[in-house]
Amino acid sequence: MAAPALQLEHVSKIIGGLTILEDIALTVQPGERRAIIGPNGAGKTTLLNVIAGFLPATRGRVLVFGRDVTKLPAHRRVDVGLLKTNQQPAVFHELTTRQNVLIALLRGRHPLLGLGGLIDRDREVQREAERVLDEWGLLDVSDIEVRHLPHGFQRRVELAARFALRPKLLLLDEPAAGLAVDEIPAFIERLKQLPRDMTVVLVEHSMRVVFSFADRITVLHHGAVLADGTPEEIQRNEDVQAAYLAGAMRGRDARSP
Amino acid sequence: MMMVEFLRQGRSIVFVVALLAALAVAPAVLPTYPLSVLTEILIFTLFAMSLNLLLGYAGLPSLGHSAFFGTGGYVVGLLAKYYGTPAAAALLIAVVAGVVLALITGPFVLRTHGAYFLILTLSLTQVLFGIVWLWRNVTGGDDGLPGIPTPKLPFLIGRVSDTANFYYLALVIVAVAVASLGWIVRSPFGLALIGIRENERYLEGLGYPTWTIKYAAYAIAGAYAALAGGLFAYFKGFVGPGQISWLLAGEAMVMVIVGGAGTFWGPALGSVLVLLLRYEVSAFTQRWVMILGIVFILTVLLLPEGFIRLPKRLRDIRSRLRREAPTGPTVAPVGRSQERAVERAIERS
Ligand SMILES: Nc1ncnc2c1ncn2[C@@H]1O[C@H](COP(=O)(O)OP(=O)(O)O)[C@@H](O)[C@H]1O
Ligand SMILES: [Mg+2]
Repeated sequence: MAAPALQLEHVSKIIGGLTILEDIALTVQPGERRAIIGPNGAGKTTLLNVIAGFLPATRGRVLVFGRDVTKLPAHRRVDVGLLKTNQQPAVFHELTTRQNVLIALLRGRHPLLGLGGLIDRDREVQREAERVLDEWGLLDVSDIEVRHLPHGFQRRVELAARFALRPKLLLLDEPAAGLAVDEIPAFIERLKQLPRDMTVVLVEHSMRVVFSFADRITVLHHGAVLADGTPEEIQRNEDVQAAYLAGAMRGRDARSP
Repeated sequence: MMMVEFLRQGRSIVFVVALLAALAVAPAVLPTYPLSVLTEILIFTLFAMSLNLLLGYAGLPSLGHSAFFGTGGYVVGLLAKYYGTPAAAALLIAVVAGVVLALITGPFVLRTHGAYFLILTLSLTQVLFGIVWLWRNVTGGDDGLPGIPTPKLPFLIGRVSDTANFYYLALVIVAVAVASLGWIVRSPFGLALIGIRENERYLEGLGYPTWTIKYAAYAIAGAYAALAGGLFAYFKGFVGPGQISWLLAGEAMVMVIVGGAGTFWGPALGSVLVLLLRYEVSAFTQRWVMILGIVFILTVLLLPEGFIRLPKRLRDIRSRLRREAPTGPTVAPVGRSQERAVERAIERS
C-alpha cells in the first residue's frame, strides 16, 4: 500500500509552558478529504501550522507521503507537494490579482533565485496566469490591487494561486469563513471538483461544508483528538455531541437557509 | 489590454531615451559647477537606488547603507594610494568588497526586522566608522585619504573638459548599473522582494526560500552601494570617515522616501531634489539639514508615496473633491474604474 499522504505521530506543541497540542496521531490516506473540526481555541490552526512547517513541533514526527518533514522549513515542504491556505487569506495586498497569481506560478521557474529571467518575457507563465484568472472569474479584477477587493475575492485569489501550483496535499484553514452565505454552495462545488490525486485537509466551522465534503472527520478538543471517523460515526458519537457538535450544528442550522 | 501594456512600455522607453539624450548633451550646455552637481546627482542616484532595493522593495529599512558606500570609497582610496591600481580594477574590487561585507554581516542583521534591523545596520556603520577613525596610519583617521587621482576616459582627453570627462565616465557606469537594476526589479526575484515586504511568511508558504532571497538582495544592494562609493571617492579625489557615517545613510534614506520608496525612478528624483535643495539652500543659510528635515516630514505627511507620485496624488485629490461620497480614513482610495470592475466581477460570479 502507498504511504499515507499525511501522518502525524505523537505530535505535541507547547508554547510558553502551555500545551496547545497533545500527543496527536493522525493518518490521512492519499486522495482523502479529511475535515478537522473543533471549538474555537481547540488548536486546529496550530495543528495546520505545525504540519506546514510554520511552527516547529515540540515533540513527535510529521510525515508527508512517507517522507519525514519534521525538520524541514516551510518552503521546503512545498517541494514535497504541500500547500496551505490561511485563516486570513494569504494574499499580497499591494500586488494586483494577476501579480498574486504570477508570484505563485513563478516559484523556481528561473535560475538564480529568479534573477535569470524577466516576468514580462516569460510568455508561457503569462498565458498560464491568464488561464488561472479566467478559470476563477478574476479577469475583470486582474489588474486591481488585492487590498481593494472584498473578502470573498481575496479568498478566491488565495485559492487560485494555491490550486494553480497543483499541490498534492492541500491544507485549508477555514476557507469558508467570511464568505457570504450565498457564496458557500459555489464554494462547495469547487471543492468537490478538486481532482482525487489531491489530498485535502480542511479545517472548517461551517457544518454544511464539512458534511458535504469530508470522507472522514477528526474532532479536536483542548488540543487532543476527541474522535475520528466517518461523518455518520461522528454525528452519532456522544462525546462529540456533548463537547461540541450539537451546539455547533444548532447554531449553524439556524443561520443556513 | 495588450495595447495598454504596449503603450506603457513604449512610453517608458521614450522616457529613458529622452533622459539619456538630455544627460549626454548636458556638458555642452552646463557650466562646470552645475555639471559637477549633476555628476554627484548621478552617483547618489545609484546609491539611493541600491538602498531602495532593500528599503522600498524588500521592506528592510537599512540605516547603515553608508557602510557599503564607505567601503567602496576606502577600497578605491587605499588601492590608489598604496598600489596605484587602475580605476576599472579598483572599482571592481570595491564591488567585491561590498559583497563580502554584506555576506559577512548579513547573517547578523537579517535575523531582525523593522526597527531592530534599522538599529543593527546603524551599529554596523558605527563599527566601521570607528575602525577607519582609529586605524590612523592606514586610513588616515579623520584626515581621510586625499589625492586620489581622477580617472578619465582616454578617447575624450583633450576634447572635453576634465569635469565633463569624469561626468561621462560616471554617466556610463551609472547608466549600465541602473539598467541592470531595472532588470532585477522586473525579474521574478524583484517580485519576490515585494512579496517579502508584504508578507514574508505568505511568500515562504508558496515555497520561496525567503531568507536566501533577502541575503542575496542585501549582497546585491551592497555591491551597487560600494560601486557608488568608489565613484564618489574618485569624484571628490578624497575619501574620509564622512563617507561612511550613518548621516550619509540617513541622507540616502531621505532620498528614497522623498522620491518614492518601492518605485523604480523615485530614488533618482529624490537624489535630484535633495542635492538641489542642499546646494540651493546652503547658498543662503547654514541650516540646510533642518530645512531638509522639514521637507522630509512634509513629504511623509502629505505625499507618503513620494514625489514621483505627485501627479497621481493630485488627480486622486481632484477626483475625490468631485465625488461627494466621503471615504473613511481606513478605506484605501479606489479609482472609479476599479470599483466598476469589482462590481462587474461580483455580478458575474
Ligand atoms: N503563539 C501562541 N502563544 C500562546 N498561545 C497560543 C499561540 N497560538 C495559539 N495559542 C493558543 O492555542 C490555542 C489554540 O489556538 P488555535 O490553534 O488558533 O485554535 P483554533 O484554530 O482551533 O481556533 C488557543 O487557546 C490559543 O489561545
Ligand atoms: Mg483557527
